[in-house]
Amino acid sequence: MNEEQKLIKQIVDGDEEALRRLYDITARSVYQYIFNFVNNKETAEDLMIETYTQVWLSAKRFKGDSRILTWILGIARNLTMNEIKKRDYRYEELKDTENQKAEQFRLTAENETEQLIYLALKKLSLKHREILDLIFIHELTYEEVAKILDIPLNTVKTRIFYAKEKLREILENMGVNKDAFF
Amino acid sequence: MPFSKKLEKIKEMLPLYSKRLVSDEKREEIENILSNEPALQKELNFWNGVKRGYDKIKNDFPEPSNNIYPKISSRIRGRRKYIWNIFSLNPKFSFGFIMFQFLVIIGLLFYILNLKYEYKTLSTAEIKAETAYAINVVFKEDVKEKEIRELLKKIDGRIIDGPSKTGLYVVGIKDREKKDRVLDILRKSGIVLLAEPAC
Repeated sequence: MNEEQKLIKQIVDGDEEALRRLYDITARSVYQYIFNFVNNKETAEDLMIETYTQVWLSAKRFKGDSRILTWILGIARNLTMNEIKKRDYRYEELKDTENQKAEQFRLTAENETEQLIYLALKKLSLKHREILDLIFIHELTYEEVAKILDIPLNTVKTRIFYAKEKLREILENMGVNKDAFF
Repeated sequence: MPFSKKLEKIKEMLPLYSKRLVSDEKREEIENILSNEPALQKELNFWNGVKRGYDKIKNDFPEPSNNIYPKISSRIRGRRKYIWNIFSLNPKFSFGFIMFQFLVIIGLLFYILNLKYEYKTLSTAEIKAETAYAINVVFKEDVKEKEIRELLKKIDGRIIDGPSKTGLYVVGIKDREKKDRVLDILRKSGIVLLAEPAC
């Protein structure tokens, strides 16, 4: 039995200290994942509370066939999606304000690639952004991504392909030199 | 596997490679092929750029505040108060509780059944069958138990035998001197079909 499985067993047995340890290990990642969707601190915190309460209540359902973070992110995703539906959120596709355009122009001129990609990523749709987030922020494998999103492995790969195409398109529209990095 | 297919597979793996999420074996394989494939190098440059963009995003994320866990903890403790959560969290307790309920039900059932078949007269308890003056009594068919009890109380007697298959009871009275009066009371009670001294 590995450390994660031990923690889960202790949680199932009602050990709150084990939940605290699990929270310390995973909270940052889970919070970032939720915040990335809702872009609001209070809502993200409420969803964190919901997520870890669910973890406490349904720990016995964790089968141990994935990393514990994958399982928690799956719970967080379900709760966040419900919240988004309930409140009729629009996932942030940033509108180009005048300031942003000016910033974009400056960055293009100075060729600050990271900052431009940062802006371009924020313009991606929920579907495309989410899949890249799971890999580049949460460092999950394709199998783990498939599990969280509840989609086949090949769909993960296809979605990454389209996310990449979209990101390129956005960067081109932002005036990024094609030879800069792709 | 044809080389073009292999290239495609490696291309798919580049986001993971840029994040160092591939095994050492896979990394070696990718690096061997990458060195001779400018198109793949370009693709990798793109993903490295995405990685750097994400590094910046990660730096911009707010940290979860310190008051989240206390709220989780208090929510959990609050939920613990609900009896149903005790059941859902502790199967042994649930099973024990079900068994306890089952035993209580069985016990009650036995108690009720015993109540039904145990005939408790209101008559005096000191009358013993051997010494009592015995009277054969047949009650009317529709007579109620309460009426029989009241009658037995009136004559200060008790049922010492019966009922037989034909519905005959033997009622005993303590005081032999009162036998005629008791017989009279029984016969006039309206609930007795037959009242005769037993031989």
